[in-house]
Amino acid sequence: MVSFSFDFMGYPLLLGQVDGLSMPFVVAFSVIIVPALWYSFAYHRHRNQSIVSVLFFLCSLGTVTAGDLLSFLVFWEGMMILSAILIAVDTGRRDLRIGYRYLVVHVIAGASLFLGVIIQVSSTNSLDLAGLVPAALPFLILAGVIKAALIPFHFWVPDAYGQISPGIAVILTAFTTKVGVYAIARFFPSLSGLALLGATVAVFAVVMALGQRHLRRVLSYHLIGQIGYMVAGIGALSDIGVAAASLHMFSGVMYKGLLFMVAGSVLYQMKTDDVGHMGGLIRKMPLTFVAALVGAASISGLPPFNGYISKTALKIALQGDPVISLLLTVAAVLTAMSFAKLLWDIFLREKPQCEGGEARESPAVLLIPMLVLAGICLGTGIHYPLLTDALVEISIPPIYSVGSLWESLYPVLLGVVLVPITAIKLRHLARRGLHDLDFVFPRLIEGFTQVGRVTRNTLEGHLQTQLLIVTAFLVFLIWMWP
Amino acid sequence: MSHLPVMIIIWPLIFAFLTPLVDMVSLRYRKHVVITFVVGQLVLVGLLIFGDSGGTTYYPLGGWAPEIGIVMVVDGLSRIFIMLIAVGTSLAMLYSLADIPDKESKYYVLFGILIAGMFGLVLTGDLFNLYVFIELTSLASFPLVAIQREGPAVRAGLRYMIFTVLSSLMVLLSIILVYGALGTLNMEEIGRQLVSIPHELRVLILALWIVGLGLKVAVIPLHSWLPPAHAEAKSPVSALLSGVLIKTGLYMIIRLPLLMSQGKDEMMIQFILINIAAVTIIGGHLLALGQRDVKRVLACSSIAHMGYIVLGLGIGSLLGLVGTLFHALNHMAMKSGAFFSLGQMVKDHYDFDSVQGKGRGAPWMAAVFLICCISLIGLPPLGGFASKWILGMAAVEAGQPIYAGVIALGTFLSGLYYANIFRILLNPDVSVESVKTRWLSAGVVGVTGFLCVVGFFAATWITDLIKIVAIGIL
Repeated sequence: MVSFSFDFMGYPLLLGQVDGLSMPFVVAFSVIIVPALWYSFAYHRHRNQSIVSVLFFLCSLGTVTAGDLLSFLVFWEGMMILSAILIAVDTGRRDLRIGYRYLVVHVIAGASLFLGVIIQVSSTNSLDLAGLVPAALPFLILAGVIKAALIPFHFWVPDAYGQISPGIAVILTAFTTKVGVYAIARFFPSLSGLALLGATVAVFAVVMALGQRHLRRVLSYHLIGQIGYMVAGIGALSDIGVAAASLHMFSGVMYKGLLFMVAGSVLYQMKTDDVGHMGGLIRKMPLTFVAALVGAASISGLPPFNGYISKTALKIALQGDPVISLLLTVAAVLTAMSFAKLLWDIFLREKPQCEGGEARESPAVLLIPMLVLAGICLGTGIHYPLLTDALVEISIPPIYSVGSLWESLYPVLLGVVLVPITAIKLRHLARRGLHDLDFVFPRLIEGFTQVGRVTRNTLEGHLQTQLLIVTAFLVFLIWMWP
Repeated sequence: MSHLPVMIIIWPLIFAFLTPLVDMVSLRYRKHVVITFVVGQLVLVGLLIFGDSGGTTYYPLGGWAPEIGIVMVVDGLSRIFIMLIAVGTSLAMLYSLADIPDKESKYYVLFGILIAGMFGLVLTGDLFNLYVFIELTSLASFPLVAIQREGPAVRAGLRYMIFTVLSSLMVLLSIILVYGALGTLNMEEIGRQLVSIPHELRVLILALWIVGLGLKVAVIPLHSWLPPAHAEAKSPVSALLSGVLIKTGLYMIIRLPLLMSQGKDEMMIQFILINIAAVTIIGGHLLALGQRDVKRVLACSSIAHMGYIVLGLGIGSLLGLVGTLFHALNHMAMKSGAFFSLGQMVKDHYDFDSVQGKGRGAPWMAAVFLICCISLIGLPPLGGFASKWILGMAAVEAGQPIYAGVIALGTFLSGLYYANIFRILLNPDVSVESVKTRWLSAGVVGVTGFLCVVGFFAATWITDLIKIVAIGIL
């Protein structure tokens, strides 16, 4: 990797610095961008969208390879602006509010990061990424948590990714939240409670996913859940934990990309992503079904796919903590349940009145990247030293042992068996109890606008009042002067 | 002795009185006159700023000694503001060619007088001429606001006049008090002798300066004239007032209360300024958030940005002063750019309902508007980020991180309302006709967008230059 350095207002900026932590991110980003861009050609309404996508990709690379805080900040904000433009252009016809909410929540993250970086830089007078001062930490944590979509800042993911076109979604989902994970791993790997937070997020997100009807929203919540796994890995507070989290990040980027592509492919044919209206697509879209099966098996951690490798690594990293392990097992059961149900609803069940009458296999422009990604999921799973030795240096016991196989199989079996029994109860929980959390934020924005209106009404008074205020201010200044 | 300082003031006056004469002959020559004027002004200013070694130059008018005569002083601070005024007015002047109806000869007369007044204001070395130039700029700017002669514009101009006259009166009163106490109007002399004035009188003078000049820069609670005046004026005038004119108030705040006071007084002034600034940043952004008219949003955002600018003065360190001057330059570029590009997209009626989707009619103008607004929010890689970065650093280094928090909160609030404006301007549900842009206006808009980018990528170079000036001031 080429590295640059130049001077900005007296501070040296270092770009293109790759170390052990950023390497997996660089590799994952560089691998996913090719099929993702290819796939997005089918969806792009503008050729400019491809240019913005590539810029966005470069900004993501810049963020994870930034060698100092200021260039990290610059690329971070660049990502934010470009992704907001992508979303706004994409959702334009339907709903510009999505881009608006996305931009606002990320501006909060950006402002928080800005403040944290300023405090850090002026207290230590260096742009070093390591050695954070305690005063700067809360702001960096807030920025990282918003970007990584952890509870309670998860709402922007289903809000945005649940409605944008899959061509954009495959690009955005691969990078944005992963950069948040990178920030967490880079800035505060030794924060206590990270593992518990991650495991809670994983369970919560999967429960929420069970309550959704729309394919992209389901996948959005699963995306949050996978972030939870990664954060739990970082929270293991060991080298193997961070390595396992990076591994899971790589696998996650691949199979989440694949699953979003499957969703896009289904959406392309059905013109809806309401799972309730689908059924029996296996005969019409067999190759898509194969890709979906690979993705579902990967995300459920089934051998021999890459999800199995990274989840096993995570289990080894976290085996010292029974609570976390239990939570992650619950999340695994629920994940398997969710995907078993999805596959059944979309592809397998016979539904005579389903609307997919004219559905047929997707064109090659959509299929090829999907199959490439499925190949990567399978290939890196079988030939796993590619991940465990080349990508990150992690020494773990033989992965394909009977114990590990059983460890990964029984949650899936349990999940599949439990589908008919518990899915409905959980769906109610997700719809009624937890759904309201997602609408806190739009109301918050509304609240700020209200404050603005009140300020306007207060500060834009009559001429006489304003003149009186000016005079009173003069008298007040003279009076208070010591 | 070079006659440049006085030439710079006389040149726009020549232009102002030549334009109606030329218009009497034929309107066709208007363009040539304006372009000649702008080029001449830039050349003169370039010669003045970069023509000598950069030290302090005195130019006694008529050769009288500074103590009794009139003197013009060119030092680092005036150089920065001369540059700001020259660039801002030149852009607005070129933009006006397309935007102002041909018949309005007096627009250019007033514009020329306003430019002369602003140059005089930052060049003069004595208080009395300062007052004369304040009045000159004020008298030229009310009619510019009300040039459309419609109800709201006239009302806004009237309100603007009332507050400006109040401000001028306060400054005049303070000048009378200073002259009564010290017997001199030369600013350098006053700076040396101000400590010798009795405490009560000194407090009165300083308070009059803060409130009188605070009215000029429109900090809260002295802001209420600004939103209507800047919103109801034509686009180039809005850009001129927001981008350039209120910065002359900033110049006077640096020159008078801040540089002339010492010791306890200076601490007190900085304390007052930093708190006013914090209130102004948050209040200004909230005010903008509550507006339902794009130009008023931009005007209220100017209030908030004057808050950032004054914040650097209140911090009182070298870095704070650098941040102030840098943000003043950046704000000139990005706010002028926002008004210019908005003026190309929307010709009249700027309320949210009327501007729906207008950005799609002129996509390039919308792109520059986007760049300027992102810079105003303070996001990289644009100039607004660089100067906010310096201001935030200055606040934390001075041991007052709470004000860096205010800057971050301001970033969030401005993100909120600018995102809303983008949403409205790019609304795809309204059908719009594409708008033709004349090449001159497009060029001006392009230059402002370019300046926003330059503010970030040349930040190192610019801040080094400003730092030299700031060290000279402190």
